[in-house]
Amino acid sequence: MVKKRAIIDVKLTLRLRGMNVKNRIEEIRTERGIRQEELAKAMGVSRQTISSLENGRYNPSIMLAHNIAVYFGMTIEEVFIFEE
Amino acid sequence: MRDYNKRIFVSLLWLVLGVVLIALGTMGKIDDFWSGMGAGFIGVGVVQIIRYARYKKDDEYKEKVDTASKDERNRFIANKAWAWAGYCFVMICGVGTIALRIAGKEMLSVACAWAGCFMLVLYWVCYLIISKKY
Repeated sequence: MVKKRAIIDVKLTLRLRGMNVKNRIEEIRTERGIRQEELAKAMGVSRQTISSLENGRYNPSIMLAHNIAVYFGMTIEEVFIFEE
Repeated sequence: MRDYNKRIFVSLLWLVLGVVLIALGTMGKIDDFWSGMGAGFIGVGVVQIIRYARYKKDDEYKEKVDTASKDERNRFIANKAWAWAGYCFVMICGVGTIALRIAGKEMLSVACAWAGCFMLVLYWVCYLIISKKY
């Protein structure tokens, strides 16, 4: 319950502030020789989701962003860049 | 896929209901509309049972279905599609109400207006319920 509320709060705050979220998923993934399919399988999402994330067409939930960061052994801030 | 056995049971229920409706239609107890609906139920039941059977046997298909149902982008798209569909429906009802009125089809125009109003009321009810949940 608290987690869900926190996710909604963060999404709302970002929207209100007109912030953009960019990410380095493709860069980190290719650096490490990981295929989109592998990352998708590890995250429990479809390959299209990873592709959309990399192209910036879709912003992930906090949980997915967290899971991706953990998968790469990095912090969320190192993978996702918040821009005004 | 959650509640696998429940889903199979529901599909079987569709199948049985379809067979009963067709049987009653053949005996002349009900009209063609209902037996046609029965055929539809049989179709839905059979397709669903085939899907569930494949889900149980084919591991690759199972993984594909599970991923698709859990995928957050998929859910986001589905929610967005429903929202758009609802919005378009209300707009079409509005335009339809005016167009039908101009065309002199008053009954249809009123029906269109009612459908649009019902959708808006439903939206507000859903909004209130969901806003209490979150």
